[in-house]
Amino acid sequence: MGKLGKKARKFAKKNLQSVEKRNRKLKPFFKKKFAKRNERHEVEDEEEKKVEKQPKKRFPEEDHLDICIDAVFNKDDGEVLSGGDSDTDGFLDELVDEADSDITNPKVLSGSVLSSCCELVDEQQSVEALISLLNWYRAACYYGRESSGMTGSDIQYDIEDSDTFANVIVFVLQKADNTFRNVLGLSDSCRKEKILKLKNNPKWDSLKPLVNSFLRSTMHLAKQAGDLEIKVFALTQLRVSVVFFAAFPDLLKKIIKISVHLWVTGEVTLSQQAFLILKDISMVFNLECFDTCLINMYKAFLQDCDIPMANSEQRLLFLRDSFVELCSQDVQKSYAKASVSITQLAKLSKMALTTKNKEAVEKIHSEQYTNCVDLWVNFIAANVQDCDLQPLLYTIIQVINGVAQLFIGPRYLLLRVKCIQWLNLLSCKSGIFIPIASLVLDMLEYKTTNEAEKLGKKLEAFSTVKLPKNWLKSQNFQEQCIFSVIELLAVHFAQWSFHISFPELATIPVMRLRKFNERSTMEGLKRVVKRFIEQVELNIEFVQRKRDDAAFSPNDQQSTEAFLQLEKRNTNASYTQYYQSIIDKSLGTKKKK
Amino acid sequence: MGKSSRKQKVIPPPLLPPDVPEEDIEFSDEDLKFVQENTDYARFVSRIDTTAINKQCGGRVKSVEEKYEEERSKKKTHQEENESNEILVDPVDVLPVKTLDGKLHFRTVTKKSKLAEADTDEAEQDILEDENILNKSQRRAKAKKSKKEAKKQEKEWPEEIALEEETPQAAVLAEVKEELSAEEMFENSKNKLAELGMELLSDPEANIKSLKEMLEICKDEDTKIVKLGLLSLLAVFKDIIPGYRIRLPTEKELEMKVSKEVKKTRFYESTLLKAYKAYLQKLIILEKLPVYNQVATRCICTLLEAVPHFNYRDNLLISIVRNISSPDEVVRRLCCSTIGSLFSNEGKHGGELTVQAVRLIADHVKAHNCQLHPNSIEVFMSIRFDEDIGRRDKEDANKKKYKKNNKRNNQEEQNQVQENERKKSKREMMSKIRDEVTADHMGVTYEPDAIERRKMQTETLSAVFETYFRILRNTMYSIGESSEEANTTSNPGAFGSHPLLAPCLDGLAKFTQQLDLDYMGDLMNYLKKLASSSSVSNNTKQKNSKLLTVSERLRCCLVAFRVMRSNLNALNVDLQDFFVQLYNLILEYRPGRDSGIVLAESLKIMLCDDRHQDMQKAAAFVKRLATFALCFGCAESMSALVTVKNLLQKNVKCRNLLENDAGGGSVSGSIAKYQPYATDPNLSGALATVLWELKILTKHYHPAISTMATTLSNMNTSQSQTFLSAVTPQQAFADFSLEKESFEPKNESRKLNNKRKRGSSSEEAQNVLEIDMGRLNKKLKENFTILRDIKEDERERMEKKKPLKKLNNVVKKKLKNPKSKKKF
Repeated sequence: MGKLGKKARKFAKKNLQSVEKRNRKLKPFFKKKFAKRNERHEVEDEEEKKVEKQPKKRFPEEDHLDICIDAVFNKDDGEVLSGGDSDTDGFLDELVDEADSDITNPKVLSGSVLSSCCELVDEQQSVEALISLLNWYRAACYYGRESSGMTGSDIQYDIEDSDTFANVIVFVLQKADNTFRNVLGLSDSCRKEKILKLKNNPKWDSLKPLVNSFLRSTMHLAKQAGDLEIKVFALTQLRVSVVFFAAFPDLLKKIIKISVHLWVTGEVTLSQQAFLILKDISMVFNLECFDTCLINMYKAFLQDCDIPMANSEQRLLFLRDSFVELCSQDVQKSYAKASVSITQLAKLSKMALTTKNKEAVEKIHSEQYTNCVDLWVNFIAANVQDCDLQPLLYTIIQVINGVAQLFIGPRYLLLRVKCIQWLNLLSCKSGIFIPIASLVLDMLEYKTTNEAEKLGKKLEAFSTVKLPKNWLKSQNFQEQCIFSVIELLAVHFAQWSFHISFPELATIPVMRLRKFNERSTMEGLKRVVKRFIEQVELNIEFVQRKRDDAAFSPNDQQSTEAFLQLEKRNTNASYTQYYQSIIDKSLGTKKKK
Repeated sequence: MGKSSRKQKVIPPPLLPPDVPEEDIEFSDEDLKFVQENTDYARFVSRIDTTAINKQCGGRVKSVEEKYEEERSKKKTHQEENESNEILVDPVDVLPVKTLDGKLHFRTVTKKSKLAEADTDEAEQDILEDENILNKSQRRAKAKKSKKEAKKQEKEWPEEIALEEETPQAAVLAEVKEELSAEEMFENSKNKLAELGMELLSDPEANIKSLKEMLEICKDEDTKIVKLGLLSLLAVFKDIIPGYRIRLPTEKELEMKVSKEVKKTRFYESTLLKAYKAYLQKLIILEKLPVYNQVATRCICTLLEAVPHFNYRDNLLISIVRNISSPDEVVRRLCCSTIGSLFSNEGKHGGELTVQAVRLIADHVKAHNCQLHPNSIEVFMSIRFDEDIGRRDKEDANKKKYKKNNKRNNQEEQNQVQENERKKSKREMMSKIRDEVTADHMGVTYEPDAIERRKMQTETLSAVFETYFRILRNTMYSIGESSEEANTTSNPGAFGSHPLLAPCLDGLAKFTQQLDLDYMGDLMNYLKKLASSSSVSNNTKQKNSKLLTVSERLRCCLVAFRVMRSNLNALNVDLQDFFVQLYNLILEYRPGRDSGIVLAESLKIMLCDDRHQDMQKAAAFVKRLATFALCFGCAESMSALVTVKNLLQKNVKCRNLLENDAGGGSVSGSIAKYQPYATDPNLSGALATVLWELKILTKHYHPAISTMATTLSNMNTSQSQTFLSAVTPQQAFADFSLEKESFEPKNESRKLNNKRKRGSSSEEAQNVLEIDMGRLNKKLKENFTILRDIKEDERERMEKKKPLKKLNNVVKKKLKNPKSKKKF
């Protein structure tokens, strides 16, 4: 509505009662909206994003092309989105004698007032002093964010100088939790049930708004503070008080949201702290919040995969590991989620395999897909020893095999290497046998198939899963191929080097490597391959010698299991050390990268 | 256009009630009485203004034809012509046009052309009504002439307009007109085609001349029209071509006096044939033009498929074979399917075309040096060779046929006799000629006898095998050549290096029974050489694209085995070499590159189907396949294990591999130690080894494979050894390929037994951050000062803004705080 002229407004006021009425109605709305804008801004944005994404994946079963791996948990979304940001947040009412003072004058906190307050709180656990301290604390947390105190109170809180500012924040963050506990008579390691029981405690009624204010202000500080260290500090201190969130479910949702955001976007230490909070929350509030945490983290992680960033590789590693750590807290619950997600992955890969549909293939060939597989592979690897994850294990292996089968050719070298690494990891952790030799040995022939290579003329955009074409001819690329072959085979052989079937397992790879050596013209590579062959042959010879001495047959379960178990612990064998050195070297180069 | 459509939408005036003659109307007595009694009521009737009503309700009554006419002209010219043919000109719409005779007219020219059109319409109507043939052609000529005139005039308008009135509007108008006329012409020709076609179909004898006209239309410049013309002609021909071949009368026959009917038939046939010939010529010319390639090929193919007995079929066939390897997918498919249907429906043409087609394809392959699309050879697969023609057919079937033929002959003759009687023309010469004609007729229409059929079949076979052998020889030659002079002549062609080899091998496997035993030896030699081809040139460092792939070599082995099987092993050929090849090819197999299905098939045919295998060889294969299973995916592993199981079941002694007897125990062969890298299965000494592979396979991630491995390792001890595995390697391969994987979560609601909580306290200790309080304090202070500065800044800005608006400074200061509050 355009603004009316002065006369017109006058006229309207006099004659058009209805307009006036509407103006009156609208005014507070605008006021409120603008006032809260800062606070709500981010939350709303996030919400919008999610809302946008929802409609297109509402029916994943109907059209397989619409399968979206980050959207599998949509139905669980609602509870996370609603609430948590609708409440107002004001100052606490202080005692009457303080309220008597002139309302219009802003209250200015000086250093001396602060120190006296701190003393009161520190020594006498004075609730009154704590209230005013918390009010100052709130003002400090919101300092500069709102030009003055807003809703609920007309009192203006102002802070005199920077010393006081720093002190009030540090003091409250350090002491508040302790004071609350002392007043309520709680131990450091109390459970959330106790907090919930507090409702019967008379002291709780008076303390509840204080705790609320403290949590809110700290959350705001963690979210809005300009400096990293302040955020980290706020988070670390908040973590101590996680239990108190039990009394404020709305705040709980909010803190989860904030922490997930910080976890995904934040810098290393901040991300770590945010994750610790999430972990604590999911541990303390396992029943209500574990799923929420997991889903939110999962989604945030997958959304983050698509955005390329400078140090994204390390960051994603950290995110992945922390996510896996969280999942491992409650394997039972994570199992359900993992199963849903992996089924989704499997559906996509099956579709791509059967139809060879370009769109579907591209979907698999994305950071999101590979990272998602990575996530679950690591989850399974971490927990397979302690829990029975057989179905998940089987499905994910088939999915990985499918991906490897789908992308043939030198351009997908990195993707293939990754697939084999996954399989190796799963095999090592679970102790099952996964044949990888043919996948690995294909890479030996990349060089020769170069001319005939007609795959992948699509976009040239650089991604970690696909190499640009001009790389393929370079010598460096070929070296890389051979090194990865040796590295992957070394991991594979190291696992089975003392198994009774090792000679047979190594037969075909050794033949192929020999053939490669016959054909290859690059002396440097030949030497590397030759050394590898020598070591493997030593290994073969050793196992064979031992086997010849053995008297049992393959169907003798116990003796075959026991075969060479003693030798396995001995790491003196040259080939064992050789395998280890290769594995270490590859880890080293990875770190350097 | 828009205008006219709007006009059409106007609701028509109410129609007058149906005209009923006055005498028909019956008045009831009551009515009369009523009127008489109440004359006042009825007075209105006398005052009715009938003219006004008539005007309102559609003017004067028109005949149906007139209405139709009017409607037509309305649609086409956007103006309304009234009964007297005066032209109503809407001067806004149409500029005056100068006619040929130099007078300025408002649309006079249009009127003329419209009239001409009306003429043609009338002519067509007439044709539909009466079937006077003589009159028809005249009328048609007239119609054509008038149409041509109209066309000419239409073409002339724009020029004239451009010359005389060079206003831009006129030019634009002219363009529009031209477009309109083009569209009109298109519509016209389309309608014309449809009409002619319908006429022809409804009564071909009477309207046979229309064919020429349709052909005429096909000479149009507009490609759309030509295509339409071709297709409608195709439909017509397909329908009206008789079930026999037309033989034009000789000169001698023409001299003879014949009845009207015969004349009529002769005329009909000759016209049809001429038109058909012209049509085919047109098609064959157009087929070479890229624009018409598809349409023309479609026509040719459909014709040959529908009427393979009719005249000029050879020409059709030649042009089809020419296109059989066309790069255009659609054309190629069409040609191949046509030839395929020729082969499978030999009854339609008595097998003659089969011979010809095969011959032509063989020549085609020769001419192109075997560089053709595989499809062109695949068509051979649909040829059917009947082995029994020679024996049984010769006697009984032949007699039957003869009888049948006689019967039919008699019937036909009777018919003709009847006709003759009716016509009462019994000249002897006439009947003689008729007999001759019927004899010819028979020769064309009915199946040739068995001897001839056998002859044709032999011819076909020889052409087919000639092609196959040519391909084999060509492939061998190219391999030999490439290994000698490397890359000098390497042009793999558009269809890959050996495009025809795969269908050739398939065909050989299928028709091997028809092959003469004399050639068998050669064939086996070729196959042997091809199967072992790349092991020769393995040493050359440059990998040659002309070498055969693993799949192709496996196929060669397969075909060799099939050939042997189908000849009941009558041949004395040593298949040992093929086993050696297979033994080595197993290792050269690459999952993505080579076809696993072919591998599984060779395992089945070469290893599973033989009832008895040499023990050494069987053991060698068992060992190699088990090793193979350790390195490849589930599908390959499973098919290998199925084969292993099969071999172990059939060769009891090979089960020694499952036992760890020192030195292979009692059955150890001449070689004391197992040689895993040996290339010959007989020299591998596999009997001396133990199937340790099964141990690690029991840990395979795929549950089916691990159970399979367990079953295998227990085979020696378990009692139920009688059952044979029903699953073939192919089946196993198909079932366990990833494409078949269902990816269904097995049991969702399972409970994890050992739910575990991590003792995370120790880790937590690591994660607690050491926070440098001093630095934190500093940071906080800095933060504060920054924030305060910002705040101060803001405040100052506000203060500066305010004075501009209001003069009263003092008041403003007091209001400062609330104001800023409002702002945010």
